[in-house]
Amino acid sequence: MKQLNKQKTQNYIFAYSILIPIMALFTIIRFYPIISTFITSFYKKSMIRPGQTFIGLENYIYVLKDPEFLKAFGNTAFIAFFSVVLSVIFGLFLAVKVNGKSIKGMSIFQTLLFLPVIVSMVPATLMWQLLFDFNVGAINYILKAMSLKPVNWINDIRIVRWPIIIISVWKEMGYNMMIFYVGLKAINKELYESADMDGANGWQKFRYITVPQLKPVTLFVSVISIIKFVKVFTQAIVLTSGSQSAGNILKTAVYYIYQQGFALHSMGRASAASIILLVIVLVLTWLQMMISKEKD
Amino acid sequence: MKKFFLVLLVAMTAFFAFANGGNEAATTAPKAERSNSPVTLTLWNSSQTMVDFYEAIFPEFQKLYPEVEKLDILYMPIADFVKKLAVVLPAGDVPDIMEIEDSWATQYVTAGYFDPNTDELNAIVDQMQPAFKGCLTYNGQMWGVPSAPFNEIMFYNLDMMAEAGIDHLPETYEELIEDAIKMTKKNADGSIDVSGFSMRLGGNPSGTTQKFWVLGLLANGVDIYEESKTQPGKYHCGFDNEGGFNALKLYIDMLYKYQVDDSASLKDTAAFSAGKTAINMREPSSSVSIQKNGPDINWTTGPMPKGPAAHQTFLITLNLYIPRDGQNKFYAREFVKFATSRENFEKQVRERGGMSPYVDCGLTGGVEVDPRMVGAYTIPEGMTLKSVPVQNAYDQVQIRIGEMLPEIFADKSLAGNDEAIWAKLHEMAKVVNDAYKEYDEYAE
Repeated sequence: MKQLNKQKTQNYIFAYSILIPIMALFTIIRFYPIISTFITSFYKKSMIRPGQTFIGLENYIYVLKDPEFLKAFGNTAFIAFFSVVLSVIFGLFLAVKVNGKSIKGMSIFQTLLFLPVIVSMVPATLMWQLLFDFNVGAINYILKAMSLKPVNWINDIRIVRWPIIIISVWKEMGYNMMIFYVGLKAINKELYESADMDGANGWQKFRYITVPQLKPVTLFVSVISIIKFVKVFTQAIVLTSGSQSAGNILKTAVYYIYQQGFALHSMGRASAASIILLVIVLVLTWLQMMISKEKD
Repeated sequence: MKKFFLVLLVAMTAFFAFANGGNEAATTAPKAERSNSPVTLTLWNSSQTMVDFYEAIFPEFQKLYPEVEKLDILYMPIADFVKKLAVVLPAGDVPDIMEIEDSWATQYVTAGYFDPNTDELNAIVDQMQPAFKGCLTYNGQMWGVPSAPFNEIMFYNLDMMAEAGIDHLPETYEELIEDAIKMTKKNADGSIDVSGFSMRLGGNPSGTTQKFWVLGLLANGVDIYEESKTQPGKYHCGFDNEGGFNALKLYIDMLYKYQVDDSASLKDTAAFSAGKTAINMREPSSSVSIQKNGPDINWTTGPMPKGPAAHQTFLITLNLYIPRDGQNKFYAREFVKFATSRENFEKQVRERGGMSPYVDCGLTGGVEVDPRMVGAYTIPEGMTLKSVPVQNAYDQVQIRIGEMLPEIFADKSLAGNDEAIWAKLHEMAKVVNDAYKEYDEYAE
């Protein structure tokens, strides 16, 4: 018994000696910034001036009343909604196609579809910026060739959110496709065989077997996509910045945080906006999980 | 076990909370007098032209102070430099001298990161044009010495002017608009192919505001701010008035009535270098980019034309500042005196182009370097120079206005709708006043 206890203690010591450095690192790079951001959100604190003053909820009140934040939040919601919906739909569609009958060279096709995921967002957006350019962009060139009017994709405030959605969906659908693809592989083939015997057509099999079986995967993909798209920043700033564009015309929530913190040097307001965004993401994720549970 | 991790988390948080406080004691005492040991002087800036100039004059400085062995200059592009300032100045990890554009430096001056000028440095500034004092003075003291001033000018494509039958540079806004209309070329779909005047409609918010300031506000006799008549040192919005209305209306009219530019056309120096705009309003330094990217463009420069209410342009200058936490303050001050002396400014203008801030200094040297830069180095009689003020709120004011302007310019419904223009103007004025209130710098 004593021997067993000694062994158990040694196991614990070993396990914790392995875990403690990782936990410490996790605390430093994850928990500490979150706690620090939360605390800072209650202070008037400038990035470039020493000292800070406790001001309670003033930063939150300022941010929630600031028309710039509401505008940025509206843009983020619009972009996130369409990007999530479209990237999930396209991801699922591609996964189903890729999972279909084996075609020669399918692995190359899969690689090509996944490629945007591993390309860095900045060069990818710069490439799209060229494609969307009003004067020399390929997209307007095609539109003109089809006798359609060229579109001012980047500098028209009513349109500029769509190129961001297109870039986001293009970048993300390959990842979603891979997750759905794995999910599809895990579906019991006997279900399809039974459906075949019952005379079900392709759509019925998809509707009544594939979609329900992929529910947990769809939930995972949706939650991950929401978290990613609510943080939309790089594509918006790269596509619309610079004096060549009507820059900063497209403000997103993360852009607002960046602007408050690093341009206006108000770390308190930037922190308050960050916490608000964090709460929104948590609520959306929780809602999605609740809705999914309800349906089950 | 949960308790263990909770204790660990609290310990880590406490460690990092206290770890922040230790950097102040790390600095050593600065050298205020001449040193017996060898000295390396450090200078950071964002202008390659000035790096070359400082390296060229350093041997002469060494003759005066042989113990200064080396001038170590760290050049950074402006975007990187601005980001670095926000980190290094509060941390105290600074060089002996910093050369910063006035508009970027004001917030650090008011935050106390630089030493105020000594009497000797003030004596140098006293010999310069009075407009410079505006961008150096805060609370009755001056910070920094101008080292490379420049003003906003116009770049003209001479071939386009000839093609449109225009034989002289516009001297008034009426002529400017008339010429811009003549030189605008449109595509079959109505969009702009070649803009008559390249308008700054967005981009970096501070830059957008600066262009609106010079093209719109200054020409209409008003400014972004106005000092309170009853409480000196306090400010309020300076353009919530007829002049401000005319400034905003000018932009809206140029876009939608005269249609000399639109949001889709190529903009700024890139457009000028590509032959896609006839007139561009810019700082003189953009000539380098034009020569590189548009070597075939036949161009010249001119001063800002006379506005409807005033003849003004803005004066921007790189200033040499001595950081509060710098080490070799004696040599830093001596180098600033040396580099900004009348003799060295004349040398700078003669050999590299540029403009001398000294009151009675001949400005023709720069024109001899490149005759096309005549607009940059000659200030027409009657034209006044405006500089950015040193105020706590000014940076925020510029950014907030610059964030509003792109949407206002994009709003076609403002064309011909004076009431709507006034409403936008009041909105902007509220933002300006709120910024001053936030920094306790507001008064009617």
